[in-house]
Amino acid sequence: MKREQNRSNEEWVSDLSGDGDRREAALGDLRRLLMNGLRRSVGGSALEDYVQAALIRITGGLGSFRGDSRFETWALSIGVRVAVSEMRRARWREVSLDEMVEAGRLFPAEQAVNHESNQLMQVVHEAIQAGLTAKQREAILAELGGAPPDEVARRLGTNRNALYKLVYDARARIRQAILQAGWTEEQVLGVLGGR
Amino acid sequence: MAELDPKLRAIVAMAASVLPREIGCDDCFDYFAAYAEHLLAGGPLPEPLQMVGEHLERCSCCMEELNLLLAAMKASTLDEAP
Ligand SMILES: [Zn+2]
Repeated sequence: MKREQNRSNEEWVSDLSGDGDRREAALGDLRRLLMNGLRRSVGGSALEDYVQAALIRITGGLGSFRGDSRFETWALSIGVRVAVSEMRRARWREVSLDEMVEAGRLFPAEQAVNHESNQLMQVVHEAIQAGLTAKQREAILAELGGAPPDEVARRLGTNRNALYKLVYDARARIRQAILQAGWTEEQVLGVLGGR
Repeated sequence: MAELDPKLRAIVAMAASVLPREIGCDDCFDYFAAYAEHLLAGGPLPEPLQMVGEHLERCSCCMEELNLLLAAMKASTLDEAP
């Protein structure tokens, strides 16, 4: 079989944008690149499906390739994202938003370590209950419980980028509440640093 | 100091790590491939890529994907070797 040829970024884009044999050859090489790269990183039994979905995304998104990396790296980054998103979706299929949130819930009453951490737990707990919107609360607790952000986003009817911003605002509000309760940044870092 | 509740520790760390400006997952993805190449090449990161690094420290999905991309890059390089 003909060995995969080394294309420049420009050649990749022009071959994949063209038609006929050049496009077919480039598609074949791209498919091989994705299969090889993903097989030994992401793995999974549905690899061929992921690669097919990634090929569609890559060829449909050639216009968004800025050329600040090798084309191959850019293509692999799309392949990884497509594959991992699908795998996360499959892995978390049976888990509801309520279960995700429950896994992250804080229980202040069970916290009886010492006065300082009790007080911090109280401040954080109040900030979560009273200082956040319901959506912010669900998002941050689900993440705290270990659910992947893109799966939390799907259940909240949003996307991963918007969820990040939602959780950012929640983090900022909790930080504000801690500072308003009289804690200094140094004290907070001290608590985090102490074991 | 005594052991802090792990979830309390995690949420306080999430709050304490807030930066005045953070990029989201979409902006992170725009620079993802360039970031991975810079990481493998070593050396200082240019400014937009520093923000990618800050995002990765705060986003478990993007961090997982970066590690898989680095592994995929290594795997595809092996296959290109004669
Ligand atoms: Zn992210």
